[in-house]
Amino acid sequence: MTQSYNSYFYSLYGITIESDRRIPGLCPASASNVNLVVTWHPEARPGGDLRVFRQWGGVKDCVRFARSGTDYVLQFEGVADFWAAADGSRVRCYASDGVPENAVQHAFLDQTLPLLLSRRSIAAFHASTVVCKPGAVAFSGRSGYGKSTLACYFARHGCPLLSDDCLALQLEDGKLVAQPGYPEIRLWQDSLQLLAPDAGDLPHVSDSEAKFYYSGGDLLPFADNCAPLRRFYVLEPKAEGDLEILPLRGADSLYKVIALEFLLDSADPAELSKNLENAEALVRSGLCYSLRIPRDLGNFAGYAERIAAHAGSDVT
Amino acid sequence: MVSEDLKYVAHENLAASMVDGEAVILNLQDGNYYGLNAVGAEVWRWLREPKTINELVRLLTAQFKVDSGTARQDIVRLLGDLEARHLIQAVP
Repeated sequence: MTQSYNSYFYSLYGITIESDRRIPGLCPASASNVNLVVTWHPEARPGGDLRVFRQWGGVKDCVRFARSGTDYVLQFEGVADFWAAADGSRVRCYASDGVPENAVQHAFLDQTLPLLLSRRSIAAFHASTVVCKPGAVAFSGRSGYGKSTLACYFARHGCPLLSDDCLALQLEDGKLVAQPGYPEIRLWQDSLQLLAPDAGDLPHVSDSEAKFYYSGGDLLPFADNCAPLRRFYVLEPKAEGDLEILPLRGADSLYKVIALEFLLDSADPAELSKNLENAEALVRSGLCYSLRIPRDLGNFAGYAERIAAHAGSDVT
Repeated sequence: MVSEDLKYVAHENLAASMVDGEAVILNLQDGNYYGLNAVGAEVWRWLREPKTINELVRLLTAQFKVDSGTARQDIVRLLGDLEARHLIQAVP
C-alpha cells in the first residue's frame, strides 16, 4: 500500500521547515537541511493527560501551555492545538473544525513557531524588523506600542520588511544577524488608514485579534536575506512631548530585553539560562536604545525620519 | 540570620550576568531575576568562592572608600537578603 505524501519546504527565522501542507505566504526553500517537520492532522487531537503549566488570555482567546510526556502542547482555544517535540524539531497541528485557515496559520507562524525557536537555541524577540542601508533595525515592545506601524512605514519608504513581531537573531562571526520572517505584517485599523489607506478589504488576523493582515505586494517590499543587526529599539509609551531616543544601559536594560524574548518553558533551567545569555549578548552589543515615541500619528513621518537618521539611514 | 562563623558561597542553580558594572542574577529554580548595584555586583563576584563575613569586609574596605563598621553592616544586610532569596548558601 502506498501513501501519497506531499512535502513543501519553507525558510523563515533562520530555519528550514518541511510541511505536509502548503503554507501560503511563506518563502520557499530547498529540500535540504530541514530543521522542523510540520504535519497537519485532520483527525481528532490525541487524548491523554495534559499537565498545564501556564495560560493566558480570556475565555474565548485562552492559550494553554502544557506537557504531555516529553512533548509540549500549545492549545489555542477554539483554533488549534500544536504538539511539539521538546527539541523543537517536529510539530503536529490539530485545527478545530470550521476555523478559518488564516487563524490557524496565525497561531502557528506568529505564536507557536517563535516559541519553538527558544527550544532550538535561537534568540527570538517580540520585534518587527526592517532592513535599512547599514543593517537591520528592530522595533521591539509590548503589543500595541507601534512595532508593526513603524516597520510598515519604513518598509513603504525604502527599508524593506524583514519580519513582523518576531526578530530571530543568530550569532554569526561575532555579529548578531537578523533572520527573515515572511512578507506580511499585522496592523491595527488606525495604522492601516495612515499607512495604506488604499488597501481595501483585508483579512482579520483572527476572531480574537482586531488586526488585519497586510501584504502590500510592491508597496510592502520584503527582504528575504538576513542582515546584521544595526539597532534594537525598545518602544516605550509616551503620552505627549517630543520623541526621545536614549541608550539602554545597565541591569535595567537587561530586564527590559529579557521581557521581550519568546520563552516557551520558564521552568526549564537550560531555556532560562539561554534566555539570559541571549539578552546579555544583545545588551552588550551596544545596539539597544529606548525609543519613546508619542502616540501622535500626525507627526509620524517626522518621527520616522529622525529614527532613520539615528540608525544611520534615511527614509525616502 | 547570617553567621560570623560560616562561609557563604553563590548557589549552584543560578545564572548571572554583569552589565555595565551591575549584576543580574537569575534563579534557575523559580525563574526570578535579582539585580545588584555596582558594589553588590563586586561582592557577588567574590562569592563565587566561599567567604566569611570578615573576609568580605576586608575585601570591601580595600576596594571602596568605606570604614569597616559601615562595610560590616552592609555585608551582613546583603548576605541576609541573598540568603533569604536562596541565592547563596552557607558552608562550614
